[in-house]
Amino acid sequence: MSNPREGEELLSDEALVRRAQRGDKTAFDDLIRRYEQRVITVAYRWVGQRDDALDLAQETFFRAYRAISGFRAEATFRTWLYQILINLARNRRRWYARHHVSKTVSWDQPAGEDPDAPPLGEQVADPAPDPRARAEAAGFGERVRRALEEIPPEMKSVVILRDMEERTYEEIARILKQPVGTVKSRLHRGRALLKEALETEK
Amino acid sequence: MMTCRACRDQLSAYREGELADPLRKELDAHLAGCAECRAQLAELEQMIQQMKGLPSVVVPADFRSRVWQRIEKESGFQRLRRAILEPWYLKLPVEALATAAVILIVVQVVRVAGPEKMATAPPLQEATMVPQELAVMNQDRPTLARKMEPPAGASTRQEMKRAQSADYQADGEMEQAQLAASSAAVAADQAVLRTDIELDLFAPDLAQARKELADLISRMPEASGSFDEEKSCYFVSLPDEQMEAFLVNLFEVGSFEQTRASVPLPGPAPRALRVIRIHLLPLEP
Repeated sequence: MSNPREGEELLSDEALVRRAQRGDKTAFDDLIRRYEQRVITVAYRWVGQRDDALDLAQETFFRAYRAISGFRAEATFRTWLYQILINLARNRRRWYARHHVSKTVSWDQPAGEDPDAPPLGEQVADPAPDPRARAEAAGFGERVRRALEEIPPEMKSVVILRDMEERTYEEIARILKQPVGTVKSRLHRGRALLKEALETEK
Repeated sequence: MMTCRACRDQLSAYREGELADPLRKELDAHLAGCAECRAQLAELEQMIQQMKGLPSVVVPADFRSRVWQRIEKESGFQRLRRAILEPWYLKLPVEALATAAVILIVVQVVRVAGPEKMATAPPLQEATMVPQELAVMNQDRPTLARKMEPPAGASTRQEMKRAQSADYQADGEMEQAQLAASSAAVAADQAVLRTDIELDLFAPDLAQARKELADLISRMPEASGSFDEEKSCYFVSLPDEQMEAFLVNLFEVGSFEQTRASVPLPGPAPRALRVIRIHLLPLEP
């Protein structure tokens, strides 16, 4: 999460949403700053490629802004944002075809580039303490990314949300609008498939 | 005796402590005597741990400004106009475009399924802008001359509809109440009923989509709808000048895929009501 603006009181998500619903763009901007890293990360877990992930994340916030008047406080803002993201991710092939997203549009690099950092754009958001651990993580990350592509979306979303994002079963159930039992069985099946895919790829 | 295959199928649930006692004990016993399955469990554990520490993409410096650019770039009306006008206006003969009383709308979808819900409480604000004049277009370049202002008396009608629905608790009954309120209007129009526009609405949850559609219809003044169970489609009828507002809000409800549209004949209808037929279809995973 980016640093809050100077002098900003820490309002709850719900308070910011209410302000945004009344047209307060600064409030929505604060919401973006709260969730941009998380949304980008999950998008990246899903699509595995930096520019696509950033486009997907951008589109998620765009959709959230458009639909903010319809947001009911039944779910939390975070749950709702995940829902939008996952739905966009699942449908992105269709979405890309319609929007003709240009792959040549590039995103800025983050400020303060480290010359020893891993390849373009893939920087560790929470860097491991030593370079070897970091490199290992990056290598595994690449393999997991490829392996995840083999897995059906229902299971992929649960594995990402549970094992990578460490959300609770209850929140995942709310995000995906599935019963907790279904979430659990999809997690177990998804892990088994992922493990298999990683093994066949070695 | 438990087979290795059966054991491995349960390893993830076992690891989470989610197995019922009898089954858990079977795995305990099997794992005690099977080095390979123990190794599998260890690999599973390692995989899960590694998934927690994956590198990610750091937020680019321009991310937020790009989001705002995307937001500012398209007002609701612009988005609608772009989605509606660009695909089809070139295909129509000039004569059909001439009359201001005719609405020609082809909705070509640019959407992805979304969980966005429509609120029942806040009345439609900037989205329900009712054009005072309809589009007059020429062949080369569509120009839209319209004044946009909130519909007069809309809040009263909305309040009335809400009051009618207020007595009903369940969603299904709510829909019935709304339909009952509007069925008179629909019946009166049977004689001139014809479908002007057909949309395919894809939704993961059809019951939910129906509910949201009913909700949207109830919040639009002078709109009425009826659901045909057999064909699984909604017939919505509403005045010419509200089509656009309806469609703007429809973008927030769900995912619309490529549509068919019949172009109405030029010339005003006796009462300028247009009909949209919305097919509810399941979204493939």
